Amino acid sequence: MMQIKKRHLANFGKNVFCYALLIAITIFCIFPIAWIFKTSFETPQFIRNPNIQWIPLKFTLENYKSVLNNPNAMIGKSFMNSLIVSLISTVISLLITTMAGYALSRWNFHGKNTLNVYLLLVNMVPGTLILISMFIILNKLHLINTHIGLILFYISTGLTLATWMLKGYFDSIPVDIEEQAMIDGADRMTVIRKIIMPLAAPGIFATGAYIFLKNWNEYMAASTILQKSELRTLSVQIVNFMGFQRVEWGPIMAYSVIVMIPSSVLFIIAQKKMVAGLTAGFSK
Amino acid sequence: MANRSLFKKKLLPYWLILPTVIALIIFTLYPLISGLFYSFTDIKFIGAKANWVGLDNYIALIKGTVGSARFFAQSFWQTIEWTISVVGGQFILGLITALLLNRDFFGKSAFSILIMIPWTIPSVVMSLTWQWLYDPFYGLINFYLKKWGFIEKYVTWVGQPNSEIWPQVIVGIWRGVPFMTLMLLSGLKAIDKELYEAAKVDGANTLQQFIHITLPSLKTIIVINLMLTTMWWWNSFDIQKIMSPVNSLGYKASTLPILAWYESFQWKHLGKGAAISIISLLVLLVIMIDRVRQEMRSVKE
Repeated sequence: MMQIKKRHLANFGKNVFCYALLIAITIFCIFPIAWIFKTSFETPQFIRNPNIQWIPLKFTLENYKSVLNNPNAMIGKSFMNSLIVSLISTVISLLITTMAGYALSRWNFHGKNTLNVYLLLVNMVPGTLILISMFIILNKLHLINTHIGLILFYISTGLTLATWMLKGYFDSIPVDIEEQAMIDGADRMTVIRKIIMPLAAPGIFATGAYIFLKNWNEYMAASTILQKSELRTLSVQIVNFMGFQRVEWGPIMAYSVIVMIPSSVLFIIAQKKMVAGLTAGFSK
Repeated sequence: MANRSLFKKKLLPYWLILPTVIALIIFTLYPLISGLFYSFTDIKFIGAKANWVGLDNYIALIKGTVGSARFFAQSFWQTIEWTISVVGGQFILGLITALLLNRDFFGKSAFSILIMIPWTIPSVVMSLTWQWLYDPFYGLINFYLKKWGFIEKYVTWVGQPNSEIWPQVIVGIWRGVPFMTLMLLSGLKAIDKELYEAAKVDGANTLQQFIHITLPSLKTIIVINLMLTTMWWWNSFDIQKIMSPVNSLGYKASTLPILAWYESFQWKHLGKGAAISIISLLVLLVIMIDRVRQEMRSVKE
């Protein structure tokens, strides 16, 4: 009896410890987010309150209104710029890497190892180096300060991860399905179109979501290649806006909420599949 | 799998990889090689003429004689410090979190979603938010540290030319914990539960189980993860750039990517910026070479 009780107690203690640790880590992860929301609903005088409180002292939507009406914020324009650039570069990346992912998953061919290793090594190349060369090239092609220039840069950064993830998804589709269909007389293109693509669709969507978000959030190249305010993407515009605002944290945090909600929602929707693809792609 | 008869087709796979290979050559290999070329030239700004100067840029950087080169050694060590502490912190916290989430308990899915959030927000928003948290006058962090007696008076943590790098390290760790957790968790889930049952029968305690079952089973995923995160965080840019002071020469907390960017696009020395990037790449390559070789071997098998 005593022993069972003791073990119960020990288990209970262990559980409490684990919960406490997990709660501490969770607080570490979410307190900045809570603070973004809180600040965004606070009036200017209370943001400068030397005491910290977690509920806005006087709830207001003033910050949101001021951001949406501020000509320096250019939210609508920048949102469209981000959307155009991210969407086009993602679609192009997906079109070319889906084919490569399928090939890497299904065939052994000459140069496959070289390709695999190259895909790994490319991750080491500093973004600044690619940016310097691309900048010089884009300048020769008169593509600085154009969305096309940025799209080309994003295609270069999306290639490796997309190929990897897609290979992972195709690996998870049993090859038997294709073989059976081809034995039954279907030709390969039909099999790919009618059987493989529908099965791989969630994986392709998740890869697309990952690449899209990476491009949507990108800052370095966007801030370097696009220097005209009407071309800027959201991530550059918000930093620029902060320069105008001079630490008016209320509007900046309201802007942050507007910028982060679409990307966080997409992230959470695609999250499970994304992780599956990343792990499958990386561990093989 | 790939050896089965139906997949012995000769040409189709080559057609399928062709677009990706062409894109890789145009968008990664060519920029890499031309970047290497520019690092041997004195090209100053976009559109300027590039004259071959041999190793001059590299020598200037290593000697530390001109311009931003004075700060090269400092940024170099800072990059190593930054990468080790960020990746190490992410890994330790991520492993703990993954182990905690790998058990059955009430509220598991809620915790999993909340812990993921730092991964989902744009890095620019993250950097601005942490700047606000570190605010020297009204910042949350100063408030609590003072309240709990860790500091006497409010500190200016970031954004000064002489700011330390470690407040930014905390941001990097915060950012990376979700990714580490998710990757390690998927590895933990794949471990056969029977191994633990057998170990319990043999009388192994939790720590022994962890050392003899969990860690060896996670080895592949840990190695791949550390490799990739090291590459990514070595080259990370956004946090340092946004939290650094504007236009500051010789910023104390800068790392090589930041220095390379300022050198190229602020101070208009593209050639030297390219040289910094090339050195950065070579050092990373040296650090990684063993792992990469093993990876190549395992790919061939």
